[in-house]
Amino acid sequence: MSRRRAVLALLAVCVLGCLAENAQGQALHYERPVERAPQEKDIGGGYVTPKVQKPLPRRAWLEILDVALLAAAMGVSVWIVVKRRSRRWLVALTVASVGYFGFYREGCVCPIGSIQNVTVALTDPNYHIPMVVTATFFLPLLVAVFYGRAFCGGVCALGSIQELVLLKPVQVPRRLDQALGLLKYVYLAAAIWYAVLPAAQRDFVICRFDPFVSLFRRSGFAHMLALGAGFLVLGMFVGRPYCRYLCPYGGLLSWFSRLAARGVSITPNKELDCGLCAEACPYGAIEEMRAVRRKCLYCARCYAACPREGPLVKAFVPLGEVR
Amino acid sequence: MRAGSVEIRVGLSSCGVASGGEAVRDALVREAGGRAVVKAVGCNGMCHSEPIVQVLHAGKPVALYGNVTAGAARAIVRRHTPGRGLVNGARRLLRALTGGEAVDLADHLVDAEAGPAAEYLGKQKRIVLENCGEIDPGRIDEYTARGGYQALEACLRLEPDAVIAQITASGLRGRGGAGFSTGRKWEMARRQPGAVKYVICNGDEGDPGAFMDRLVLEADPHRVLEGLAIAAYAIGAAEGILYIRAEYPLAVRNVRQAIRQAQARGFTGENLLGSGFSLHLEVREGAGAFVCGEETALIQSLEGGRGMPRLRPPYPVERGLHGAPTLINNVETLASAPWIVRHGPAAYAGLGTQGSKGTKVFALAGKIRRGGLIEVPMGITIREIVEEIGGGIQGGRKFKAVQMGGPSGGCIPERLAGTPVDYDEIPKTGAIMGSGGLVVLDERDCMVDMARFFLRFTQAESCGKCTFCRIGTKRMLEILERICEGRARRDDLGTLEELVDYVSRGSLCGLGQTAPNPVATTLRYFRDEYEAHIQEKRCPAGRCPALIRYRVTDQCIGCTLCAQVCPVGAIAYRPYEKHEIDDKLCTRCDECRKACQDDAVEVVSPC
Amino acid sequence: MSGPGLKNATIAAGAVMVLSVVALAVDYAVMRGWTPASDAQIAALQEKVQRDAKLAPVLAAEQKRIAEFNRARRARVNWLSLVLVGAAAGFLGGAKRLLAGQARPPVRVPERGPSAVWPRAGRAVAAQAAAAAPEIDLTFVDGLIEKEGRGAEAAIPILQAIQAHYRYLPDEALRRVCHLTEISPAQIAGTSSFYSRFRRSPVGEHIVRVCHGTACHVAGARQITDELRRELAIAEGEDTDPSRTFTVEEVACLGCCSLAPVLMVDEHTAGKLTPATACDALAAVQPGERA
Repeated sequence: MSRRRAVLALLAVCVLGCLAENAQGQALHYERPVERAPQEKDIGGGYVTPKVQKPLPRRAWLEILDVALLAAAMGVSVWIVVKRRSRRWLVALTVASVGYFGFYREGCVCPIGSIQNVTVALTDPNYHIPMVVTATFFLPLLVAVFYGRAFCGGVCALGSIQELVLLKPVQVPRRLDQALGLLKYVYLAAAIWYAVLPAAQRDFVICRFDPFVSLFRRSGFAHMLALGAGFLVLGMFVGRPYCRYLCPYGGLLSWFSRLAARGVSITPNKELDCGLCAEACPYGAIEEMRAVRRKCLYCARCYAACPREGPLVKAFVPLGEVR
Repeated sequence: MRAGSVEIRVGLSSCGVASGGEAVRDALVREAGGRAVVKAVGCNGMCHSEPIVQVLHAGKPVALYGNVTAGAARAIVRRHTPGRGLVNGARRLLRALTGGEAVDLADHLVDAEAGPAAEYLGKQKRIVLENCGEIDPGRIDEYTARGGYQALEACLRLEPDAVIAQITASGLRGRGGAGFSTGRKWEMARRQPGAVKYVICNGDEGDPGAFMDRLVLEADPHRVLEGLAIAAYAIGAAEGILYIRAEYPLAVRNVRQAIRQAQARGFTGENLLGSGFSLHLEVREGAGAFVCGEETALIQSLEGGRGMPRLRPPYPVERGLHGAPTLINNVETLASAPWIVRHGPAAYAGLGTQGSKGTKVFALAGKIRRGGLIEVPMGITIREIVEEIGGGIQGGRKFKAVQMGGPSGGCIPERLAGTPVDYDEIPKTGAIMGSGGLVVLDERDCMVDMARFFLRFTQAESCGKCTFCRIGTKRMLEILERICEGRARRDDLGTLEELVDYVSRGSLCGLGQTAPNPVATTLRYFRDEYEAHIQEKRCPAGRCPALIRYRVTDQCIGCTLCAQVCPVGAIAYRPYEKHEIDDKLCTRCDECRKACQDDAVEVVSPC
Repeated sequence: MSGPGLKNATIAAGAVMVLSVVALAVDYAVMRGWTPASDAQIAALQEKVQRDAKLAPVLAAEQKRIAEFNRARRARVNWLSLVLVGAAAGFLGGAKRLLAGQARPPVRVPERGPSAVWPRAGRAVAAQAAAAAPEIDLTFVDGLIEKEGRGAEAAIPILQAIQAHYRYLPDEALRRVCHLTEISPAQIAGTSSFYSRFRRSPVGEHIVRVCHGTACHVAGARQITDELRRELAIAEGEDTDPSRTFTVEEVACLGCCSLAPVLMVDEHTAGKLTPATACDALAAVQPGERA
C-alpha cells in the first residue's frame, strides 16, 4: 500500500540521517568542571582526593543483547496477540518485561527517551548517537507500521508496570479521554523543543520527568518517587494513565499504527458484536465493536472477555485480572 | 465525457436515501472537490447493497461499489482520482500520518463482470429500467442524450393509427396486473367519438410489496412522460394526468420537475414540437386507498368522491373521467412505449413467450439474499429469479414459496417454482401476475399468517359496496385470526372454503373477486399448516405468537446479545452465564433468536 | 487457594505493602535529617585538617564510616523495596482474583420510558399544542379555494392541501370549505373517511409511518410498531404519544421493500430496522434529543 511505503521511506531517511551523523560525529570532550571544591593541595596533610568513579560502560555485546531482546519481545508480543490470542501468555510477557527492562535494566532500554537522542542527532552535527539507541527508537515504530502498538503491550517497562497494577478500571468519558490524549502531543513538542536547544541549554525532559524510572532504580528524588507511586495508584483505576495521556512515544506510535494491516482483531469471522470486549477494554480502544489500532495497547483483555473463548470465571490468570 | 475525467454516480432514490446515501453524496462532493463530477442518479435496482456508487473512467470499465459509507466514499474518490505533482504527494503523506483508519475498499467493490452482481444483472434485460441508475432524473439533457424524446418526435411524424399499430405489433400487455393488450386498449380509446379525451398514468401502486412504479418515477420520470405523450397522441387526448401515491414524495417531486423541464423544451404543452398537437399534464396525488388502483375507482377519486368502483361496461375507454373516453395505463406500460417505438415492435416481440411479450419488472423482496428491482424477459421461471438473480434465501434457509400479485395474488409453493413468468401460466397456479410484487418466503414464514395478513389488508381496503366483499372478508379474517390464535373450531376450514367461493363470485371489482386468492392458494398448497394450527395448536413455522414460546438452549455462551436486543427486558443481562427468557414478559418478537449467533434460542411449538 | 484464605492472604499482602511503604517513608524522613548533619561534620573536619594535619586519618575514618552507613542504607532500602514489590504483586494478584470471582450484580438494561426519551421536546410541544389548538386561521382555506376552484371534483386536492397545511382536517376548515364551495358536507365526510391519508384529529409534531407491506410484515413490522408504541408510551386506542411529539401510523407500503422493515418519519425514510434501532430512527428528526 502506497501510504505505508511512503512512511517506511520516511523512517529509512531518518535512520540514514542518524547514521550519517554518526559518521561525522565525535564524542564530546568532557572535563571535570570542578573548581570550587577544596582541592588536595588546599586540604593538605597528604589528603588524596578519591578517584572519580564513573560507572563502567555496559559491554557492547550486552547492549546489543538488549536490542535483540527488545526486538524478540516485540516479536513474541505480536505472536501472542495475532496468533496465540491469549491474555495469559501476554501477562507472562508483561511480568518478564517489568522484570528485565524495568527492574534489571532499570528502565534504560527506552524508546521513549530516545526520541530526544534522535532529535538531537538529526539537528546537532556534533552529537554522537549510538547505534543501539537508534535501533531502540526505530524498531517499535517499524513494528507499529505493520502490526500496531505491539511495543506498548507487554514490552515497554513503563507500560507493563501500569498494566500490572490495573485493578478495577473505570471507563474514561470519551470527550475527556480525547482531550487528555492531546497532552502527549504537547509533551512531545516540549521534549523536542528542549532537545533542539543549543548544547548548553539542552535538557532531556522526558528522562528527567520519567515517573517510573526511579521506582525501577529504587532510588531518586522523593518527588519523582511520589509521582511514580501516584501514577501507579491512579493506574489501579484508570488504565495506563501515563501511556494514554502523557507518553510522547505513544503519540508517535499511534500515528504509525494507523497504517497497520494486522493487529488485535476480536474473534475475526466469529464476531458477536455483544460489546463485552468494549466493556472489558480499559483503554477505550474498542469503538463500534472493533479494535482501533491507534488506541489499542496490545493487552489482549478483549480476547479474555470474549464469550466465544469459553467460560471465563475458571481461567486463572497470574497477576492479571480476568476481566 | 472528457477523456481522463472521472464521473462518480451515487444512487439517491428513496431506497438510497434511506440507506444513508445523502451522507455518502456529501462525502463524495467534499472529497472530490474539482477532480471528479459527482452525480445523483436514481436507483439501479440493486437495492440490497444501497447506497451504491459507480465510478466511470473514460476508457476503463465501470467500478461499482455497494454498501458505501462516508469513509468508503472518501477512499473511492482517492483511489480513482490519482493525485498529480508534488503538492498531491505531500498531501498524501500528510494524510498517511494523520488520516483515519484505512478503509478496505475491497469490502465494498462489487464486481459487475463476475460473481454475485453478475448473476444479479446477467439474466436481466433492461428496457423500462435502461436509464435507472444511469442518469440524473433532475436533468432532461441526460435523458435526451440517451435517446430520450426521440420516440415522441418519431410518433408525431406518424399517423396515430400507425403508432397504435406499432404498439399492437409489439404484443405489449398492460403491466398493471390484468394483462390486457395495450394496443387494443389504445385502439378502442382512439375509436371513441368525442373531442375531449383523457390519458391517465396509474401510479397508485397500492400493492404492498411492490415498488416498480416508485422507482421508475423517481429515477427516470421523463420516460413515463414520453410514454404518456405518445399514448395521448395516439388516442387524441389533450389532457394527461399522472396519479401518484402520496407515499412517494420523491416520485411526486421528480415528476413535477420533469413536467416543468419538458414543457420548457416543448415536449409537452401547446403545439408539441410544432406538430399542432397539444398536451397538458397534471400530477394528482393519491389519498391512500388501495382500491383506487382499479380504473373506475381511480376515476371516482379524480372526480372528488369516494373511490368506489362501478359496474363495467361501460369501460373507462368509453365513458371515463367526466364521462369522456379515458385511457388508463400503468407506469410500466407507458414506460415501455418509447423503447418499442425507438427499437421497433419486432425487437420487443422478439423477447418473451408466445402469449406474453417483452420484459416484466419485478420488485424482488422478502427473505431473498439480493432484493431489489429487476427486469426480466417474460418466460423466465420463478426459480431462476429466486435462485439465480436473487441468490437464494437469506441465511441458507429453505425456499418455501413466493407471493405474487400482492393481496390479489397468491402463494406459489417451491415445488411449482418451475412455472414461467407468463400471463397465461401464472394464473394456473391460482396466483396472478399482478403488478410485479414478488415476495419470497422461507420456512420461517407461516402461511396461515400470510393469508391473515392479506385478508386484514383487503378487509380494511374494501370499499364496502358489495356485501360479500364487505362482510365476507370480515368473516374470513375472523376465522383466520381464530386459527392463528389456536381457538379454531373443527368446521372453520369448511366455512373458509365456502367463503372463498362466495366472495370471489359475489364482488363487483377486482379487489373483491381476488381477495380470497391468498387464502385459496395457501389452502390448496399448505393445507397441512392450517390443520396443524387447528388440531395440534402448533405453528409449524414458529410464527404465530399465541402458539409458540421461546427458550434458551445449552448452546448459550452468555454473550448477552439477546438481553441487549430484547425490547421488553425479558432477558436479564448476565454476561458469561446461560441466559433465561421470562415467558411472562416475552412478546414473541423474535429479536433474541435473530440476534443469537449460536442458534441458542429456539422456538417451541406447541407451547 | 480460594475464598476466605485468598482474602486473608490478600489483606496480609496489602498490610505488608503498606508497612514497607511506611518503613521507607520513615527511613527517608530520618535520613533527610541526618544527611546535612554529616555533610556539615565532614566540612568541619576538613577545616580542622587544614589547620592540623594530624587529624587527616580521623577525616578518612569518618568518611569511611559515612560511606559504610550509606551503603547499609542503600541495602536496606533495596530490601524494603523488593519486599514492597513482592507484597504489591501478591496484593494485586489476590485482589484481581477476588474481584473477578465476585458474582457481578446483574446489570439491568436501563429502564426506558417516554420521560427518559423525549423529555424536553415533549413538554415544549405539549405547551405549543395547547396554545395552538383553539385558534385556527382560516384565511389559508379561502386562498386555497380561490386557487383550486369551487367544483366538487376539487374535493380531494382541497382536502390534501388542508391536511398538508394544518396536518389534519380541522372541523372549522371543513365547514368553511362546505360554505364556500359546491362540495357538500356529505361528500366531505365520505371522502375524508374513505382515504387513509386523511385524518380528522390533530397529530403530533412528527408523523411516523411504519410500513406494513408484505416484505415488511415478514420481516417483523408488527414488532416495530409495538416497540415504538411501547417506547413512546402510546395508550391503547391512541396513535399519538402523551407529549404529542410523535404520531405512529401503519401504512400499506412505502415501496422500500428491499430495506424491510421500513418506517418514514416525516419525509425521512429509515430501513433495515430492528425494534432496538426503530427508536433511533426517530432521532433523525430530533437529533440530540435522545438520551
